[in-house]
Amino acid sequence: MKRGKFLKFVSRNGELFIFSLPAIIYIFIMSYVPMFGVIIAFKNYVYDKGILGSEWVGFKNFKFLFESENAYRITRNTVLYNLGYMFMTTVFSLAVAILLHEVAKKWLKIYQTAMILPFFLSWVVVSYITMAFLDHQNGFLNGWLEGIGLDRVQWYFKASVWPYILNAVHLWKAIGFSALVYFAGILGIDAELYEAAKIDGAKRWQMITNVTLPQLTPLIIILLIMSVGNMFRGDFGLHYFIPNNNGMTYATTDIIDTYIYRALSELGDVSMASAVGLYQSVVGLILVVLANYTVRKINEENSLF
Amino acid sequence: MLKKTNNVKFKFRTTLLTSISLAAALTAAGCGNSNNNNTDASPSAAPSGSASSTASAAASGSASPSAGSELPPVELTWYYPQNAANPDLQLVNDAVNKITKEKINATIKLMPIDFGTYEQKMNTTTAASEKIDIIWTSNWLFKFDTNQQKGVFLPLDDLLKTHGQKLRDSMQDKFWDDAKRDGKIYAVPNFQVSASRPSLVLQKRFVDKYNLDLSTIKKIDDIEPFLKQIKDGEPGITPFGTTKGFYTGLMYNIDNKVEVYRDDTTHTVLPDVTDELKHSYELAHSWYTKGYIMEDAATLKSAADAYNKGTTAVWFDVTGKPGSEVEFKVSDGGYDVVLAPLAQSTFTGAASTMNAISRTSKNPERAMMFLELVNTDKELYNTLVYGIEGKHYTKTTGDYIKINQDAGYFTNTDWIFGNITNEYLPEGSPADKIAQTIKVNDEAYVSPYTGFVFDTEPVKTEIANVNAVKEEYGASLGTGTLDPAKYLPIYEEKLKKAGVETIRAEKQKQLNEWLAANGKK
Repeated sequence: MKRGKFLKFVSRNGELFIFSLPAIIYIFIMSYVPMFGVIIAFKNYVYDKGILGSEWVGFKNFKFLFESENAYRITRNTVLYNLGYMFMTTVFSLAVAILLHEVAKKWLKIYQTAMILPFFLSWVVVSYITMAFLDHQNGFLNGWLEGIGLDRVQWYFKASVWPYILNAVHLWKAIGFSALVYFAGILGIDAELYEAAKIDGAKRWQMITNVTLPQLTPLIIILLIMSVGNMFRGDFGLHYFIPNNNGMTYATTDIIDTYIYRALSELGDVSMASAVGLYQSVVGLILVVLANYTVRKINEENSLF
Repeated sequence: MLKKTNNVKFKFRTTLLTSISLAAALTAAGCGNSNNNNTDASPSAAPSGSASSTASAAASGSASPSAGSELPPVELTWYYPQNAANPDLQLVNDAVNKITKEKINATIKLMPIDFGTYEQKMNTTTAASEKIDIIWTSNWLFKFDTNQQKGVFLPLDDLLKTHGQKLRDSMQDKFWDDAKRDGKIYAVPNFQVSASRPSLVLQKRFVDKYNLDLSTIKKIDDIEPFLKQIKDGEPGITPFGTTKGFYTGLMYNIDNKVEVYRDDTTHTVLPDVTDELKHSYELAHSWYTKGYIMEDAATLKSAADAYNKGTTAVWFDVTGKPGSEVEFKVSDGGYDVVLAPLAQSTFTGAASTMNAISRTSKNPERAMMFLELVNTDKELYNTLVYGIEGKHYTKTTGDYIKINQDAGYFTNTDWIFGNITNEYLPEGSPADKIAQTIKVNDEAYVSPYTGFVFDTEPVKTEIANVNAVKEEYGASLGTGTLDPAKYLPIYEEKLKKAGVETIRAEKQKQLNEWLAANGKK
């Protein structure tokens, strides 16, 4: 009986399932098939013995991350930055999506294109753009500062400014795509609801707070739950290339991923690197399940699963 | 009304599904990213297998040392690092194949990778057990010791006997000793200067202008008055260029195989932060505050960034090899340089550039034959180093050649490919470059600890964390950007917490065992 229901659900939404097929295949090949490789994390992987032939070492590979004096610093940075990114991206891209929907009908395509463009740039390219602003000798920012009679700032040596820079750069790159997702969500809202609100005499602001936002809530929550899963997985490119991987700013830019890179790139130890990857994934999974559980407690309709 | 709610509900479902698909696409994109960064190594490591080892075992069964035409044709791949991509690589590769096809009936696929990404790229390639034949390795990039321990290379003793006797005889044992682990040879050293002579490199135009007497420069501190002259007299010129600082134990009578004072009969392994290092940091900081070192030194990534614009008067080079004047001239904007050695040369070993045969090679015999050819065949070697005659270089007089740097193939790295005694001399090299090289190698100080190799396995955890700390402070202290009075204690404290003392103790223990086993204590 239950199976019949599921099949019916599938056949009713056939087109949508076909749409998601490429992503499902991609994830299956790139994420599920190699999953067998996680056993490397518990082995001392030596190439000529192969993955199965290498010696088991238990949790030894996990040791270095937790024994590190920097464990606290990198965990704090990773989590705080991700919270910051989550909050900023959600708030600003919601605002932009609503603005696009409410006022920008005429230049819609131009706004959208301009905003989504940075999303397709690699972090290396972005790092040169930020360098054009922050370069100590020739950067725009120092030029302006001197122009208005202030002292030049050595941005790349100054740890305290980086939380702001990184949040700004991340927002600049992420807002286009995120706003597009919310904009698509708004377009999906039944026009009848707006008509009904209009008949009841609702103002624009009231329509936003009483129609748009409540209708978008499930979407917002889904996206939030998904990003909670990445709470322990920092954006390596952003934190490595934008601050120019500079020792003097590690206090505020170093995250788990960049630390691991620094500690292991010379050692080239696949097993230790896998151990960290596994640790991040397991914590991510726990966080997703917890977040979903909380949402379901509050409102079952809105939970992801 | 009821119907309407249903409708709304259905719409909501559609929105939900659309967003899930979108979200899935997002996650997919996220996965793609994480595959690129090296923390997530499992996907690339997965397609490993035992096929490779069986393949090489099968191949080694059929030994046939005979002329090229009788051998079945094979293709070999060769990975090595380069400064930049060359547009004419394919042309040169074809010229190389013409020679190798005739002599050993093999074609070579040249796979140059830039220095900056070589380590990472090769770590992934070898971890994935890709089928490759020859890999360039060294004691400073894609490290020989660690990768040998990981089982990347094939032992070469038998192959050298059957297919590379000429190659084996071309170098003294002291070179082969550096390619040995547990009594077996795992790589073919490229004969070049295997000695380091820490030196200052100075632009000749300033040396002449200010009449600097190079014989007065005995240690690095002696250059300071000259730096002041440059600072005061040459606006727009950086007096001293550096990216990571200028400390090396070689200048301070510290052994190069293990950190012990050369005359220390107790064989005590020194801590990472020695008094000499402290002095070097203090000197750098005083130069930095006086404006002799560029402001951004600590953010520069590659060593060449310190001088490659031609606006740097003096910089430090740890090797100081004969003939390097030519190499510096092409990379510093075309200005002539002179070297001022700061220490006696030390035999740092042949391990600074070697070519090894991969465990995954399907044709190890042929790879060995190729390595012998590249180290003994003048035409093949010079094609690899300089390109095609008449197009990328022209012969002038004797062994001298004129290189056309912009013709589409320019390596500036003769030491990557093979034995440099086979090379043509680029214009401007000293005529006795080869003789000098051999002489320096013969006369250099040879460490009494040659043969001692530190096994890092027991302290892997500590090394990982110590590396991270060194990366954090090394460049900023070395370039003098940070004041050592304030930051050196912090650095030492962090090193201690990361386990630097455990590493030192382990090294001392292994050294004592080695000394005892070799009857030196």
